[in-house]
Amino acid sequence: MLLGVFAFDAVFPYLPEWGIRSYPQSMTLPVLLDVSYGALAVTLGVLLLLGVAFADVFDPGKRLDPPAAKRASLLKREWGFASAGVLAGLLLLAAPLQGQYLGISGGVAALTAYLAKPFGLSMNSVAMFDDTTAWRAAMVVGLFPGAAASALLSGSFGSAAVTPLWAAAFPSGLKSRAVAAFAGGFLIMLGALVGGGCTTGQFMSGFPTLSVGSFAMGMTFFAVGMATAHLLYWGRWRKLAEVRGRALDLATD
Amino acid sequence: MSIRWHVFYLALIAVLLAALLWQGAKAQRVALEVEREIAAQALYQAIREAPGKYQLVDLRDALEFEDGHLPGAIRLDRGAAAKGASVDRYRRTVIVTEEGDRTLFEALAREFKLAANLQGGMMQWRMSRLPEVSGLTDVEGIRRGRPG
Repeated sequence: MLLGVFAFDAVFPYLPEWGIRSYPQSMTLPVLLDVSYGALAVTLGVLLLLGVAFADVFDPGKRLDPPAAKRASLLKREWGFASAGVLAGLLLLAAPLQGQYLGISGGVAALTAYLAKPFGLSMNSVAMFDDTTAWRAAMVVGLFPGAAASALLSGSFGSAAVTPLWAAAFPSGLKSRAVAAFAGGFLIMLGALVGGGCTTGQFMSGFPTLSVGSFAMGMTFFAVGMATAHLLYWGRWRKLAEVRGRALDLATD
Repeated sequence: MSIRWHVFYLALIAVLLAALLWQGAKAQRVALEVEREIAAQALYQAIREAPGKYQLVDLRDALEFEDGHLPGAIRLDRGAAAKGASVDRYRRTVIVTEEGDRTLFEALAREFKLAANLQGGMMQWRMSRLPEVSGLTDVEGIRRGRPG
């Protein structure tokens, strides 16, 4: 990921020339369609809920899901999308109250700039050290103790050279896993920074603003992710579902 | 529940959403009509309350601009297209001229989705004794924006 930040920083000044990046535009759906934000946000929210209900009814993967077991208390297990989603939503509201927004990839770039500063190195893409860059760098630092606390609480703390999901679907050694993780980290960081944000910045923070760019970026992210997963796990669906049921006991609370 | 009820509820939801969108479009039209002109005092209050609410585009010469401009204003050459310049064409924008010239405003306002004219321009701003910033601005910093 760090290599991705450096690669982005190296090409950053040339991106406008290549026609890849321009001055950020706040092109949002309400502005584009001349409809008030509230009306459009409620409409899209209802459509999204209908879409989720539709997908839930017709999901072909559902028959492979393990039967629901009795759940432990929320503090002692991993969370499902509903409870984690509510917490994430509250965080998304809390960030603008401080005049900031959640975004990991930009935060990693900001943190890299801070780490490079004592060595006399500067970054093209992070021009100013102000409150915003400090806030974002600090947020990325906070991710580590936060993730550790969450893993300790849910009892999923542990270390494995190769994750169970990977080992089951690709019975391969540490070397190929390391190469795949390195290449994946590099590509996702470079792609996210060129595109103006990752799934957190574009999808979670950008979608509620009804930003057209965030919609395009978020959908591209997930479409390509799904296509890649389908390619990697082609013909191994049952195995994947088995491993998922065993390794990640994610509740739908 | 039978399929007929499903269809009925879906149709009901579709009608309600269409009505909501129609109302939203009407509300937005009214709001946009009001915001074609902004008074110096009102703009200053708005900037004080939320510095990021408006993008301020100044159309005066470089020398006039550096002599004194609105806090956070970006200078754009008169007659230059907003497209390709370091401005956000979809943000609420206030266009600043020397005297609040309507023709100058109309010429550039077409390139912005939400543009308002500063009534009386810089003259009115000065006559209202509102604060100004002078000197060179960090053009490079503005041009870059910020990543992610």
